[in-house]
Amino acid sequence: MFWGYDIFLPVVWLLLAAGIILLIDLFSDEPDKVQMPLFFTAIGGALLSFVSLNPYWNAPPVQPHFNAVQVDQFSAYLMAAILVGTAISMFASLSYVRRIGVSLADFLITLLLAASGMLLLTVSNDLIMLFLSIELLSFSVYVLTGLNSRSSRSAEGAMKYFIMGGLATGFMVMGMGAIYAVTGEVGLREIGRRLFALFAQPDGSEIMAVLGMGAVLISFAFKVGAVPFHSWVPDAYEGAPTTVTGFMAVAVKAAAFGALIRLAIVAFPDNAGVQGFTGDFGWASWALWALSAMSMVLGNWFAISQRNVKRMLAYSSIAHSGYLLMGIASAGASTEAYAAILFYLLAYTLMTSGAFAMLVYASSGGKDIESVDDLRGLAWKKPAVGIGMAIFMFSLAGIPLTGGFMGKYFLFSQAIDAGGRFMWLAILGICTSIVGSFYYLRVVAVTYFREPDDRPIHGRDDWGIKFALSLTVLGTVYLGISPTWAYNAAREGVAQLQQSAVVVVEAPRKAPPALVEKP
Amino acid sequence: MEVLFVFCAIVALIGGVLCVVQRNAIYSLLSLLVSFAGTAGVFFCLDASFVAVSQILIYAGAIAVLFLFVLMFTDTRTVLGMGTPRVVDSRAVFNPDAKPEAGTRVKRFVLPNPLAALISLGVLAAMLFAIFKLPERFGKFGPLVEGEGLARDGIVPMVQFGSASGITLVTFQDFPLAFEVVSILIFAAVLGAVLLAKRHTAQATEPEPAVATEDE
Repeated sequence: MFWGYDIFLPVVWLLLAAGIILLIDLFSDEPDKVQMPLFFTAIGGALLSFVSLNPYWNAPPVQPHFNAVQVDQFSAYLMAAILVGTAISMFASLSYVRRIGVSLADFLITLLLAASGMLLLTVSNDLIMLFLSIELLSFSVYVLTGLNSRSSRSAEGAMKYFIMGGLATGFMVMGMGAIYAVTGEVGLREIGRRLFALFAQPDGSEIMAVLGMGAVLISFAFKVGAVPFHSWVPDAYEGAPTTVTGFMAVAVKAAAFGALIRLAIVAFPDNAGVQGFTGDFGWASWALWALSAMSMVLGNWFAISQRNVKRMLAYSSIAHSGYLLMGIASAGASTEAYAAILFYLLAYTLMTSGAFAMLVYASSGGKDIESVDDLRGLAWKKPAVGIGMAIFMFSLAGIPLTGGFMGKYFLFSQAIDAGGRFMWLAILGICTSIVGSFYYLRVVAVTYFREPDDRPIHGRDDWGIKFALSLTVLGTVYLGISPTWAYNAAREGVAQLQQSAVVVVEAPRKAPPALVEKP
Repeated sequence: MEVLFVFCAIVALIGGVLCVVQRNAIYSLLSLLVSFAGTAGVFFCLDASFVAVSQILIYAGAIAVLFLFVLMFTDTRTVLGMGTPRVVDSRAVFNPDAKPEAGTRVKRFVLPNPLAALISLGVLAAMLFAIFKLPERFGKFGPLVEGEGLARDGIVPMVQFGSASGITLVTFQDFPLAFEVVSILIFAAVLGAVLLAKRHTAQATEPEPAVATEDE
């Protein structure tokens, strides 16, 4: 069907929905009447995109003839997580964005463009596509951060995010240039083959490859907000509209970690045949070790002292980046760390977008939740919501029977399997998450043990946000009770990606076209 | 040709250095222009005439002028006395009220932080070392024609490598998807710029229709 171009269907549906929304918004005279059609167009686009992932479960990887992308179960898994995060963000925003003075159409178009960039990032198989899709998602997310025109913090956050993101882009281009200079290839698999040969017989030029990889790692550390590249995170998270913050936290992280894992497996295999940062790339493993340790310690440390809920969740997202980086650092020495990362990303998507949706639910009037005290007595105003909040916070803290616990369990057990310095990293992770549970549980304590005030609750008659909350609560609990299905799917996806990286197939040489004559 | 190459390279380098160390933003921009022109010359010497022309047209012609407009619209005089960032409400912001102390002359050139300069020079040295260690085939033009790297299919002889037809072949034969994604990227960027700029005009003009109907 579609001459092999149907592998782009997940992206095309999103872009089509964005285009239709743009046209409806352009030609409608009464914006109030088209809210629902706009919303359902966006949801429909995401749903169709989700459905069109169907052929890639339990199927061999698909590549179009020009080799720039590869769709496999690994990317399908991440795309599913990203689309779930996008859809939850849409449901939560249904009436929220209008209340803060942002047009729903603008929000949805930018969100869909960002999501399409993320989907492209998970399937990118060469440096050019990798760079372009990262830029597509970054541009859209900068705009989303600054959409709230009534808030100067929104503009400030967007500006900081834009400048730091521009710096990260500079690092990425520099690194890709160095990698291209030393390998002469842009395709990830070809780069992997060249680097493999280069490190088997080093001739001094591998320093360039090391510099390039270092710069690319730095730019990814910027994107996921790992310490010490985290300075934009609190301001951008606080300034952005709350539903956008949730989207930024989960979907950007899922896409960036997907691309990083693909790079680690396909483009940077070391000479022992282990895919991941060991052996020749052991320095990268040490660098990731340090990033992970600093993110876990400082993220949790700063989060404890925050009174502002959004800033607290921003620092908690830095800490979660640290847990995920632990997986990437230890992946070379363990067997299933990549699968654990994928599972953690799925659980993180559900619990964090749920927590941010909860903040939207509990806000009142046009005012966002600011300090933790604004949540006081929430559980007595709405018992079901109190239980939901408790579940999200327990999950973020990593308390059993939630998805967050299973994710942490898989990640930490893989790091302990890897042994040596990774075991110490896992021990550090366990200690910091125990410390971190303090500020998550404080939120639960405030919702239960403080006198409720008489502020009206926004979410009371907003069915979109109720739907988003039910979905995320059910998903979080389901992943905590029965993680096998999702974990196996992640494991198969990673195995498939590793398989496709090991089998080295020479691309058939194309016949030279008649247009250019040879000298 | 070698003389021209070396000359252009030196011009580009000097422009780049001046661009970084100038304190006045306008001078910095003009140095950047010089650097662009030098880079275009380097491209031209490497038989990449199309890239050279694009460099002049797009960077020197459009982007530098855009920078110039931005600088002219903003008040560059305040930049000189902006002062050091101060911490307000747990955020670091620039202090708009800071004035240069009376009698102190603002230096015309800024020198980079020594540590940053050291790291940059170290990276530069490592890269130079690596470049000289690169295999022979990377150093010469010849093997490119026979099928290494970008020209591995032997379809782009060196003379045509940077010409319009060479670039077209690479764009539409090897990387058609990237071309499409660039168009989406530009769409997103333009749309984002409109969305962020629109809100100010929307707020400014919102009361006007009501006034207009009253007049009628």
